[in-house]
Amino acid sequence: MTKEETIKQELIGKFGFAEGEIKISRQRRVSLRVAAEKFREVFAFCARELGFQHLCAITGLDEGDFLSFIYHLSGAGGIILNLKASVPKANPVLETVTNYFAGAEIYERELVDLLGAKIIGLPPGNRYPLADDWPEGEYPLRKDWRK
Amino acid sequence: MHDAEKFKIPLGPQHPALKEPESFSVALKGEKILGVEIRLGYNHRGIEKACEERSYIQDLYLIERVCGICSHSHSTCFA
Repeated sequence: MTKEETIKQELIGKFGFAEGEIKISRQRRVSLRVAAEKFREVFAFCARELGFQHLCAITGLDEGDFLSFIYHLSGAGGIILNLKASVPKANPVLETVTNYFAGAEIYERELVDLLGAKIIGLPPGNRYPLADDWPEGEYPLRKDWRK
Repeated sequence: MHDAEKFKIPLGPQHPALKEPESFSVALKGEKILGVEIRLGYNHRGIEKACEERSYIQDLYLIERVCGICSHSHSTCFA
């Protein structure tokens, strides 16, 4: 069994819902779609027990009625696990992962500033990347935002 | 050491040691760094948003200009 298959089976074994949601797109690339309420538990399992020790980036997407966040985790052998969580745009709340990866703070600040996500548990700090005098409630990377 | 020996040293946003504008406020106790407050984003140009509003061909010109050093990498990846 390949490493990717092993990861897939371990995730399915731990989280039954992963059965239909996990995909191996090619060598060293595994994707899993997770509901927002299960996200933290899955993330903790991947970071602590599956050996994904590096958070490469967090990609934010505006998908119309939903905001999606893809957490790119990398592990030994160059395997990248993409965990995708979607939240409704009207209430885009997700918990922080800074207690697992302190460096996630900068990516989460980007989500907050540019897409208007609400990340619970994010430590207080400066805006990034927008300027301090950028008006509240203006999220430039939302598709319906115009200058 | 008492608190009078704690210093906060500003570094940036313009500084010869930095590759791009960044602001660091470094809290020091002697030579030991206790912490740092970081402010980034000075070079943010909104390229991602600019690309959204343009065609694929128009975006090629933007993507080449993401970085002067790795211009080829960005163009190859995008195209």
